[in-house]
Order: sequence, then C-alpha cells, then structure tokens
Amino acid sequence: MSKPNINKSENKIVISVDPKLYPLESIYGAAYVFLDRAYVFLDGDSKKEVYVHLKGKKKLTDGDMENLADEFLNELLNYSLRYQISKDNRQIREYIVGAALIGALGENIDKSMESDEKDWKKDPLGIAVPWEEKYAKRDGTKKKEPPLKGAVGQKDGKK
Amino acid sequence: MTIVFNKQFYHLQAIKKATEAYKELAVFNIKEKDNNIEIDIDGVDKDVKDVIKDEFCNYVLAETKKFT
Repeated sequence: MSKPNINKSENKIVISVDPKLYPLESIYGAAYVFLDRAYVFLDGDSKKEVYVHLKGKKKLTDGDMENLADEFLNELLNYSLRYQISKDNRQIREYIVGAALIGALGENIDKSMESDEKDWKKDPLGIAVPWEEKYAKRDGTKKKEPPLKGAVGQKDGKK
Repeated sequence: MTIVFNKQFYHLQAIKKATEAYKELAVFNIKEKDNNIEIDIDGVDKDVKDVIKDEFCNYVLAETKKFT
C-alpha cells in the first residue's frame, strides 16, 4: 500500500489498497463506515490494486485529509480482522446455531406431547363415558338392557 | 454527466435500486460496457445539481454492500 494521494483542489484523497492483504469485504465494510463523512468511490482491479476515493462532504484542511486517510486505514484493518475471525469461526458458529435450532425443535416436540396427554385426560371424544350414560342422555329415558351373563348386582337377583 | 462504475466493485442490481430511489431528481440511463456500467445522468434538479453525482455513488455503494 502506497501513501495516500491527496488532491486538495478536489477535496479528495485516493488510497491504494492491496486486495491480497485486505479482502474486498473489508474494503466495503470500511467504506460503509465513512459514507456519512465522505463520498466514497471504488475503482481499480479487485485482484491487483483497489483505489478508494474519499471526497470530504465538507471542506477539509490538509490535516483533516491525512486524518481521514489514517482513520480509513485503521477501519480497514479493523474490518479485515473481523472478516478473518468471522471466516475462521464459521464452522463453530454454524454448529452452535444448528444445535440451538435442534434444541428448540426438541422442546416443541415435548410440548406437543404434553398437550396430547392433557387432551387425553379431558376425553374430548367421550370414550371414557359409560355406554349406559351416553345412551340415556340421547332420548332422556333409560332403555331396558339385556342382562349380562354373570353380571353382579342385578336388580332381579337372578344369576 | 456520466458515472462509470466498475463491475468488479458495483452490483448492477444496486445501481438499478439507486436509480429508482433518485428518479425524482434526474433521468438515468444505464449502459453496460465490457467491465463497466455507465450511467448517464440528465435533467438534474437544480437544488441537487452539485451533489447528485457523489450522493448517487454513495447510495450505490451502500446498496452494493448488501449484496456481499
């Protein structure tokens, strides 16, 4: 990386960046940070040399221009490191997210099973209601039933 | 006025989005030439004449970052 080229008349600095040292993603990141302070324009060759044009939104002094260039380079380094860490940790990050998603899914399964159990206790289909009660409720009167063979406690006492 | 965007750094979709956002302020004509995308800007609103080029470039860059 060469020294920033300062063009005072145009209120502009041109910084040359080596994309082998600083990946394009980090250049975008650093440029994005400066959008509120300067007009940023990218040019050059993405594999050999990238030119970052920074034009001040306000009139800049020589000192301001140098500061702007230095701050951009710092931001570039910052983003470069962030990008590298993000790249290195990608596998473990994906693993953690995957594990969290599976965990959350398991929790849902348990909850749905619990609700099924509760439904069973409520007996929504009326399976646990004795046949006699169900039948009596329908027409209001209890119909005569054939005595069950060997049933205990019959009214007529016959066995 | 003309702006030449290098395709290696700027995404066509981002440029189209920017022209859509700026359509009230000027007339944009997009041309693709080899490794570049050329934007002709005409009929610029008087109030933004001095800054439209630079602001447009910033907008395109911000949109391009979303694609990376």
